[in-house]
Amino acid sequence: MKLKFALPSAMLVLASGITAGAQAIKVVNVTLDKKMLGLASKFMDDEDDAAGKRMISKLNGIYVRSLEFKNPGEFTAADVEPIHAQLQGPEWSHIVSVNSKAEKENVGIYIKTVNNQTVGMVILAEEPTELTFVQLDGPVNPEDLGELSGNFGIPKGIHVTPANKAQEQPKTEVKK
Amino acid sequence: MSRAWLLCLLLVSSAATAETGIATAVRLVESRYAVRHHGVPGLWLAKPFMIGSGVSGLKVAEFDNFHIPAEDSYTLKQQLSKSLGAEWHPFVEEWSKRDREWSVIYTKAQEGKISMLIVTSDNGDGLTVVQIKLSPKALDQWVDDPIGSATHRNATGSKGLVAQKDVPKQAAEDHAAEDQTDAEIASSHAAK
Repeated sequence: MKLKFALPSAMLVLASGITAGAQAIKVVNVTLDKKMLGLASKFMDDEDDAAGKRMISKLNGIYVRSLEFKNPGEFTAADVEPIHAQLQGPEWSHIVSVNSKAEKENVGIYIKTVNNQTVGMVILAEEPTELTFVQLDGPVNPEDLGELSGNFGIPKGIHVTPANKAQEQPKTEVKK
Repeated sequence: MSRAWLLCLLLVSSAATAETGIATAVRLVESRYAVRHHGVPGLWLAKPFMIGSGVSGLKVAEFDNFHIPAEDSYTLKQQLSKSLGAEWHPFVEEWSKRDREWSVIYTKAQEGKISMLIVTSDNGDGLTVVQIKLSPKALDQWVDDPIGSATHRNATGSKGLVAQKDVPKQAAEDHAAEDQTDAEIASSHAAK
């Protein structure tokens, strides 16, 4: 079973075949385009939302696909491989990967950079019975991800802490 | 005289085609599957419970004992998007094999409010088409947790929103205009 995802540059287009071919018992697609994000940002009046508001006002869209499976093992690394393959292009960088043995959860974060500007981000969160795929289209700072985590269909508890001089890569925390 | 009638017909027709929504979705389902919708008797009884929920302008059409075949949902969504036009944005789509449910939710910004159109089909309840207006606070809740809001909504699309007590009472202003669904669909049919 291959999960059919396709990643065009501007917008995430998820092949319809996934619903027929995959074993998922539940699939949810969320599309928040620029207009919807613009409306949402207008209604974010709390001071606590200021950073999130600033962040989403720059984005062109947030696209989320969540797949739920009945039993663990109904999707494997091989199924997710086509998605990883699409994120191997020269514009994409795999910035962090967290494997939590306790939670049996893997989270990978990829950023797309064009002319030294981050123009997109993909989060791939794998749990034994759940696979969540998020694409943020537009300028986004990985360190600001915490502002969106838990909202807009983005899984909770994903934070990227800034890399310090002793580290080559930023750290990611996945909190439950 | 016949000119006047033609003019009237054109005016009605242009008014009907100018605004898409629940009538568009119902008409599409009826023509595609040769089924008939019915309204919800006593829907007005639900209105007092909606005040303060951030949800208003409730319109509901039901198709009993009919659900969208899983293999047809993709095509129907394509047609629905085309019929509704660019002003309606696809927001959430959900398939559940377990519950044999398919739902699609569109949103439209209009006069500072958000209209939401929900088409949901499952084996138990048949096909239901709902249109509501959301207050900014209610929209905020949907946007914050679109998956949860879509999964836990009830037939009126309002579960989870009803629990929100501190939203402004914007629902009342639209109540006078509610329950127009059948009239809207009928005029849409007539214009067609």
